[in-house]
Amino acid sequence: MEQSATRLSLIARVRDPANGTAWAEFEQRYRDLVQHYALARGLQFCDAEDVCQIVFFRLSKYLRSFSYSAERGRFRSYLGAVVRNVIFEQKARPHPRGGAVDADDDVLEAAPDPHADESDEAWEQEWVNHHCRTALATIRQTFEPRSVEVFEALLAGAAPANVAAERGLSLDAVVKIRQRVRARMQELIQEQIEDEDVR
Amino acid sequence: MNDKAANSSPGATGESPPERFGFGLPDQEWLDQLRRAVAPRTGLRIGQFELLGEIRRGAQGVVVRARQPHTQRTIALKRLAHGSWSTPQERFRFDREVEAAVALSHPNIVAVYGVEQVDGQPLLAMEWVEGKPIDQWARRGREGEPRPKAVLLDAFLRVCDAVHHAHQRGVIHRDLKSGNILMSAEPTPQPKVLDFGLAKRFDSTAPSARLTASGDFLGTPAYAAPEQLTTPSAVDVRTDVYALGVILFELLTGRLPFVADQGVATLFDQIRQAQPPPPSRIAALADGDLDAIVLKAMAREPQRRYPSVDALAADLRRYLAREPIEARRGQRWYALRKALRRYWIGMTIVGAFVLLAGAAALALSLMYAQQGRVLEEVAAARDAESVARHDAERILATLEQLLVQLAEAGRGTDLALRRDLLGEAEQMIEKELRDAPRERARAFETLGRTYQQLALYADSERCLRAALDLNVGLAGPDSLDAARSMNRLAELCQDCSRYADAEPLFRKVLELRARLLGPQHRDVAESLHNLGNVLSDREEFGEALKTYQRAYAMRCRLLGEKDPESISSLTAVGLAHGALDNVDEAERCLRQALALSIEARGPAHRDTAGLHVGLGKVLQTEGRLDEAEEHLRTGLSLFRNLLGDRHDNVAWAAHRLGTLLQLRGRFEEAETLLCEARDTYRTVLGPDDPFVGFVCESLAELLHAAGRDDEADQAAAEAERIRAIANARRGDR
Repeated sequence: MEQSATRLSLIARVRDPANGTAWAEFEQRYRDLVQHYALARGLQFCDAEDVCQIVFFRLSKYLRSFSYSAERGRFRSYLGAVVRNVIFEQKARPHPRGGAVDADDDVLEAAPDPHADESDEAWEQEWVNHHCRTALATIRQTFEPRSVEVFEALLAGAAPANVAAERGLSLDAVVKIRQRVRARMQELIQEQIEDEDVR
Repeated sequence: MNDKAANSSPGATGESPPERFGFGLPDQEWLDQLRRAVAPRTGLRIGQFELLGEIRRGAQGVVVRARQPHTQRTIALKRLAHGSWSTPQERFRFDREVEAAVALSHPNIVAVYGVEQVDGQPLLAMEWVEGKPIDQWARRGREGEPRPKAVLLDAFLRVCDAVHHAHQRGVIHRDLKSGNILMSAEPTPQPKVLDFGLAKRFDSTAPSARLTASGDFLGTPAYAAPEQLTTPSAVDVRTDVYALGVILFELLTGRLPFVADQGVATLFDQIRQAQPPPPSRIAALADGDLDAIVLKAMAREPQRRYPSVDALAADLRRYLAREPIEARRGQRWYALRKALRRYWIGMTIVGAFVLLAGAAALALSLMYAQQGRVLEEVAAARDAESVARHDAERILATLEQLLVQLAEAGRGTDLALRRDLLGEAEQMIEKELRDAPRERARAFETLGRTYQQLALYADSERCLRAALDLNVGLAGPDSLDAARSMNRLAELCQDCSRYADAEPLFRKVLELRARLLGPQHRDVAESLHNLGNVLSDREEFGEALKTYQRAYAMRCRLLGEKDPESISSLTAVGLAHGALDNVDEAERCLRQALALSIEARGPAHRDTAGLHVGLGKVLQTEGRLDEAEEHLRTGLSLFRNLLGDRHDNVAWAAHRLGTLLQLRGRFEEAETLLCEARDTYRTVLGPDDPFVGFVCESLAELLHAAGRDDEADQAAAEAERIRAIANARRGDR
């Protein structure tokens, strides 16, 4: 799976200090994943939000300088390790909190070990779900509204024949829409994963 | 999940997404797997609230839709940056801000219910609004077709009303942006402004909270006023005026004035230094007047912006009513009129700043109410035992509003009363802003301008000099702040005909700006133009011509020849030629300016009308009376249509046409026009205004020519009386 020789990945763009928009794009793309994972680990909503804040604060520092660049394609496990570390620290904090969470605390300064706990099944699942959600959001924005409507009906569990009958379409047309969306989803997910490369 | 494959692979790019994501499965199974992957999470709670799943993130920070258990009411919960108050004092401030936000009740402001403590954390509970951000609403469909201009401006004016409502209650938004304004769902979309007074200080995602350890700016600063980037503490109502200017720009053009496509550092530089492009260059929806309104709202220096959101809205309403707008007064037209006046009448006069007429009583009553509020603010600040910068700014903002209304009350109202109020304002500045020199300087500048508008020149000069001294102390004698103060002082001198004092000041401003901003800069061109004006005042027309020519060349280079400022300089070049009796050149320049004005602003525009009158006068000098009459009539009729009968520009055109008709022996029509001009000037500018005197002189000439000597003597005596007053004022220092 070769990535384009000319296009820089999102991670590579984030690492360029002059590129201000890449960071916003990066944060927008991964915040949702971090929050979903934190909630799945049983954190309160507010604690999950704290985790997001701290994770992105750390990434803003480390992504630009961390020697992570030496190894390709480890962003997923790297991010997972950062998130797990922060969740661990967060859970270890006494409640209720009286003072401020200081993102500059020493404990947060420790660079995470990218190889720690790589076999976290829940993280892997969230990562897959996240890419599905992201790609589906793009489909919803870029496909013809009628095609999106048909696909949403299929996704909600309706049988293709019923979807076709309700909308006055042929079954063949409905199946084609499903195939087109599926093919595009596959391309999008591939692109999203390539965006996690360092180049 | 094929975890083994994932983990043994050197990287995600080496894996096979078809398998991990179920793309190897039959269609139906793939769909089932996708359904599970994207299913919303259920059963989550936030304290006692049931999380309804929707999370709005991004521009507005993190907001969730939740249900209150007892009332079953759907509300929005917003996360605030916890730990914002580590001291009781900070906690006190926060509570005060929340109270202020809760107290705001306006149909276009999202209601804040209060703060809910959840797990020891404050969550802001507010009205849930179903809708989309105003910038997305402004564009329809896939093509991004803008909604009609009237619809966009109507929505924008409602936003202005909401912001003004909050300002009047001492609440400044500080983080206005499209994402903070939601348009409620159809069929009758209404704007709803979010996060009043809370955004900057307490919002976990607001720009101030989004700086990394290295000082990088992570958020989008596109709506931040220059002073927010340089001195974040210097925030007042005009910071909101700036952000509203950006939002109006965005609504009209579909894009932001400055974008971060070349990195945040470049964006910062642009906001601090560059002039935004006029919206009309980007979108057909905008025109010259809207350009002026947007650019005035977005002026780099807060002093050059509208002093209040109300003033911005009022100008926009004038635009919608096809009335002349305030944003263009004082720049091109005023300069043009002054130059024309000097060329034709050949007299020096005191400044005749045109004040807004009417509503004087209302303005005065508002003033008292506002003054009461200033005193309350001061008292509140004392209670807290600290006149912190924030309080100084709030005092200043309210004070400035008061001063604007004082000026707007017009000359016709009780001058002594207004002078007393201004005196009190001055004492307040001395006392309450003693330890806030920056605010003090600004307050003195505004006060000085207010005195100037009321023709109280000595008081004005005292205040402007105090502002200059403060700015020199703060930023040094060779700073842009000092240059700005100096420019104001020069304008004052010019207004009271002290041209010998004004000229060196204008020269110094020019030198400072050229040094600090570079020789090719819009403000440098403005300084050249100002210098041309004062040279023309001193009747050094040769020097004036050269200076205007430089200003014109620079403006053409920087702004293009169709820019109103370039046209204004071209007009001045034409007038200077006229004064030097280069009538051919004068006619050529004015004809060119007229053609450009028609092209850039249309045939029925106020500036175009002024150029018709100007050209008419030059043609009269050349003895081409038929052509002259045609242009003068066109100008007068345009002014009447645009401004109504009671406007000093109408009086000016009527005066010119009346004089020409007298020359052509059509005394009856001439007399009607001259009487109309005299009466209009009296009403609009006051009975002692020099312009009344000028018309009286023309009238005296006409009546003599008609053999009505008694009436002629009466008119001449009236002119003499006014001239004596003008001379006395000129001596007033």
